[in-house]
Amino acid sequence: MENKIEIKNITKEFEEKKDSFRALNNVSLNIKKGEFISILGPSGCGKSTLLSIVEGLSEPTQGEVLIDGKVVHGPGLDRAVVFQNYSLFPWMKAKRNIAYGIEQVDKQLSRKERNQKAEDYLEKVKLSDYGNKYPLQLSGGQQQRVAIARALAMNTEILLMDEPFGALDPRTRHSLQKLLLKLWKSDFSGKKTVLFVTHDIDEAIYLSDRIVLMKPNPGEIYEILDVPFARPRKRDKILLTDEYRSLKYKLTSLFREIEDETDKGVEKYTGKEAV
Amino acid sequence: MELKKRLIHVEHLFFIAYLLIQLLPNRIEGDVYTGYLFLMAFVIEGVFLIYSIAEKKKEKVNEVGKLFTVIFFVLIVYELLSQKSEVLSHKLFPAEGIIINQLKEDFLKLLSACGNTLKTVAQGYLIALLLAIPLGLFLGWQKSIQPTASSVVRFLSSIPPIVFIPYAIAILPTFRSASVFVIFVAAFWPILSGTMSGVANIEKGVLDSAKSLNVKPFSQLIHIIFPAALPHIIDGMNQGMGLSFILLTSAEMIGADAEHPGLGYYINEYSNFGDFKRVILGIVYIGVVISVIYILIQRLEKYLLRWKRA
Repeated sequence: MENKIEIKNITKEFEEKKDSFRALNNVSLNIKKGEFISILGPSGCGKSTLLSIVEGLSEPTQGEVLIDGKVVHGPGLDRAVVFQNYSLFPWMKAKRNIAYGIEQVDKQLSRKERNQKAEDYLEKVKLSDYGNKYPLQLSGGQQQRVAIARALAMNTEILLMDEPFGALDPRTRHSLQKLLLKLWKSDFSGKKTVLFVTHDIDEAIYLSDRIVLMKPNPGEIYEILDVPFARPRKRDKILLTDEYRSLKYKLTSLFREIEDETDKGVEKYTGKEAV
Repeated sequence: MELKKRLIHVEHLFFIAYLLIQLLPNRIEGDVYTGYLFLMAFVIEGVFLIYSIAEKKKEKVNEVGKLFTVIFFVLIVYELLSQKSEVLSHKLFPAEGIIINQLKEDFLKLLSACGNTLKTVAQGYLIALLLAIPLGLFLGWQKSIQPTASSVVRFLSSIPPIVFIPYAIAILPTFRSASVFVIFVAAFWPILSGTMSGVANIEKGVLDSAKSLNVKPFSQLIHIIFPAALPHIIDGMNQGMGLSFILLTSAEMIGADAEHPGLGYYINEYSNFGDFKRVILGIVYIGVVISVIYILIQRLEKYLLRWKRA
C-alpha cells in the first residue's frame, strides 16, 4: 500500500539571537492510509512542531512532507486540524463555526445545505441543542466536541490533532476519546488517517495503531511501537490484559530513559545535579 | 411585603428635605417660579416611585435610588448656596425655578440646537468611522507596513485637533463643514489606532486556526480579523466619541454659524451676554443629552460583544 503521509528527513531550527535551537532533527516517518498514529513525548520534544509542519502552518528548515506523493507547501483541503485551544472562533455560534468550516471546503453547497450538514455533525457529537450557543458559553469538553465536529464535517482524508483533550478533566477526556474512535470508525467514506499528538501514555495506547515516541533536545524519534489490540477496543477490557500492562511499562521506562538523558544534559549544562 | 421594602429609601428623605427648604426665605425679590421647582421635584420623585414599584429586584432599586439621592442632594445644595444664603452670587447662579422657566421658554430653540449639534457630531464621527476602520484593518494586517504606520499614526494623533481650525476654515467651503471636520479629526485618530492595535494583537492561535481552515483573504478579513479586533476597535471608538464631545464646543464656535446654532454655540453666545440662566440651562441640557447617548452606546456595545460573556 502506498504511504498516505511521508515525513522525510525533517529538520526544524529556530534562530534565537546567536543560538539556533533544533526543534526537530532529521525526523522521518511513513504513515499508511487509515492508520491512527499517536505522537507521544514529554514537553519540548517537538511533537507539536512536527504536526504544524505536516499541517503546512510551518516550513521545515530541511526535508519535506509528502501527502499522496505531493509535497506539502501550506494548509490544504485534505487536512483538518483540532488544536488544544483556539479551534473555534468565539464570535461565531457553535453551529456557525461548523458551517463556516464546511463553507471553506465545499463551495457548492447552499447555506441551507451547509446548516443542515452542521446540524448533522452537531448531532454526532451529541450537542444538537447547543448549536446556538457561543463557544464561551460552553464547557471545555463541549468546545472540543464542536471542534471535532467541525474537523469531521470538512470531510478531509487526514485528521491532525494537537493534544485536543489536554486541557480537560480525566472523565471528559475518556468520553471524548471514546467518541473520537466511534466517529473515526463510522465514517462511511473510509477511515481517515489520524495523527494525534499527546503526552498521555494511556490515551496513546487506547487510541492508536502505532505509537511514535519522541525525545527532546534535539527532537527525534526515539522508538516506534505497535499497539496490538484489535478494534473495537473496550477500555476496561484491554486495561487489565498483560499486553496492556507490558506496553505501558515499556513506554513508561522509555519515558524515564528520555528524562534521564535530559537530566544528564541539564547537569552538563549547569554543572549541577538535576532534581 | 416586598413592595414596602422597595419603597423604603433614603432618597425619599432627600425629596422631602428639598421641599422643606423652599420654606426658607429667598434672597432676592421677584418671582423665582417656585411652582416650576415643585413641579420638577414631583416629577423626579414620581419617576423614582414608578421605578421602585415596577422593578422587582431590591438591589437595582437601591442603586437607582442612590443616583436620585445625589440628584436631590445637588439640587438642595445649589438652592441653599445660591438662593437661601449669600455664598454664591445669584447672578452667576440663578434660582432653579428661573432656570426651569427658561427651559419652558427656550424649549424649541434648545431642541433645534440639540438637533444641529447631533447632526454635526454624527456627520464628523461617521465619516471618521467609515475611513478609519477599513484603513486601520489594512494597515494593521500588512505586517510589512504595520510598524511604520503605527509610528506615523502615533505622531499625527498627538496633534490637538484645535490647531487645524484655521486651515479648516480657509480650505473648506462652509463654516459648517469646518465644524464637521474638527469632529472628524478628533474621532479619526483614536479609531484608527484602536483598529490597528486590535488587528496587531489578534492571538496567533486564532490566525493559525483560520489558516488551517483554508480561509480566503477576503473572508478572513470580514469573518475573522474584524470580529477578533472588534473589542479594541470599540475602545478606539469610545475614545473618539469622548474626544468629539470635548471638541464640540470649540467646533461650534467656528465662524459663529448663526444659521444652524448648536448647543455649544447656545452656551457660548449667552455666556458672552452674561445670561447665566441660559448658560446653566445649556450646560445641564448638554450633560443630559451626552449621558443618554453614552447609555445607548453602552447597550450597543454590549450587544456587539455579546459573545464574550462566558
